[in-house]
Amino acid sequence: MYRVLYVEDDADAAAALAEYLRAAGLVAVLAGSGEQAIMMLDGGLPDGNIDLVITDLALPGIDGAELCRILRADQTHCHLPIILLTGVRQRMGIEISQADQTWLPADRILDKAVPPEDILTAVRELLEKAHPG
Amino acid sequence: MKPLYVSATGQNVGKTTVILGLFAEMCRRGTRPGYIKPVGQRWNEVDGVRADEDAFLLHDVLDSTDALQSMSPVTIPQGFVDNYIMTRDQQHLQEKICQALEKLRAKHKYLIIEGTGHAGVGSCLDLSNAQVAKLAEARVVIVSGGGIGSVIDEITLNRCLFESHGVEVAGAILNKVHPDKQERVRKIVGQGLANLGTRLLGVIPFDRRLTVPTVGQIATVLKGNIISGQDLLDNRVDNTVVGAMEPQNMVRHIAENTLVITPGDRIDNILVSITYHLNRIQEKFSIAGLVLTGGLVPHFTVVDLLRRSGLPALLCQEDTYTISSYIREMVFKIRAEDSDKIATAQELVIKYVDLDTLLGEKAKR
Repeated sequence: MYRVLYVEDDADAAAALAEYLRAAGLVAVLAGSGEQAIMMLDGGLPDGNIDLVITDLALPGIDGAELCRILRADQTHCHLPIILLTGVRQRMGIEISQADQTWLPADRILDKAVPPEDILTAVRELLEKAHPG
Repeated sequence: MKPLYVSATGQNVGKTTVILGLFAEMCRRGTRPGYIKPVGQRWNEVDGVRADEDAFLLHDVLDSTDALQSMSPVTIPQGFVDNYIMTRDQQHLQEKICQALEKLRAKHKYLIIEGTGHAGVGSCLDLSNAQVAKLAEARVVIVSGGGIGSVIDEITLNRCLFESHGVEVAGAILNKVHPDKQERVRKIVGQGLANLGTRLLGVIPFDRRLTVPTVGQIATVLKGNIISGQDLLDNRVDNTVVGAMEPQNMVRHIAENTLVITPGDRIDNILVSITYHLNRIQEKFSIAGLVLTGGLVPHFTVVDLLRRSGLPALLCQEDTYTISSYIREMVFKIRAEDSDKIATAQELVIKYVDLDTLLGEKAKR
């Protein structure tokens, strides 16, 4: 069973997507901040490693963009597929797109407003690519 | 009519500037010359064609219909010299050059040949500038940088090698001479060279317009990631400032077309740069772009502001000191798209070089 780490500081949003992912047969692990996500990834998790990371962009402290760059620069975690969720278009008027790869190295950048099925499709595609066959 | 071989006393003394001027003047006089760089050390490969980078430049600038292979018959890849020294197949390389010269001679009444470095460069391949000039049966002009004694010494040394191969040296041109010293240099070096039998054909003053790079050129050399301002990469960089100080101090160093080099986490200096760019208070206080150092990416809200402002910003991994040292040492060659620099080069050569003497009576109007 694939394990997905979801980094989100909004507890309600975290619980809702985690439940959806679990219902789809995935293991959802939650981290409340970028710092916690790094600690969990570096320290290892008791029952297996993480296969994919979903992170919110606007996090306090280490934000989602910085988390992406930290993971990409780390030899152990650089191959982890990353999905970045953003709600900044509605809240701050900031447009972020896949074209921002130079400074935001996520495999997929999705608007938080998309239906959860779209997030699940992206998760499945990236997992399939990372684990062919 | 004998081809003209443009040689130099060293690298980056401005042969290209002289050649661009010669072309402009010859075209004005009704003769469109051919161009060849027989031996290329700095080459590029485009669409499977390998040619010296100066040959690519001249091919584009002159809108030439000549084949690049003829304009740049021999290029030197890595390891080539070692192999040549051990096998020494002189005939093969010299034949390639002679064939290219023949093709161009068939199309052009007059040829301009660009050398590589000083007179002896290429000796290890039996293709020194002196040997190639002899093969081409060319007259030579030696281009040198500014100075007095050392310039006379170097020109004389170069002249001796050409003459030892039976090549006629038409004279010398001094380039990048400090404008305040131009008259003194013309008088003293002119006399010094005349004492030794060499004619001084021109003294071209240093012109800053030929050396200033664009933000895009700097980005290419630094291999930086461009995160904003892709539409303004042609911004000229006349000045640089290292933004390792507080913003109120940095602003005192902002002049015309300034490139700000600052760590990516100095949000204060980044915001000041954006403000200057958006306000464009006066042309003499303007920002050309930003180099964000240390591999530090600003917060995404700041990246968004940069993109909205249109100010070009490059992300680089190296620290501020290393980047500013790189930029100080960079040499930017004229590119085909630098139409203002090409026009300046032509203007300088036409104004400061005795082209009637250099090009010979037949090329006169």
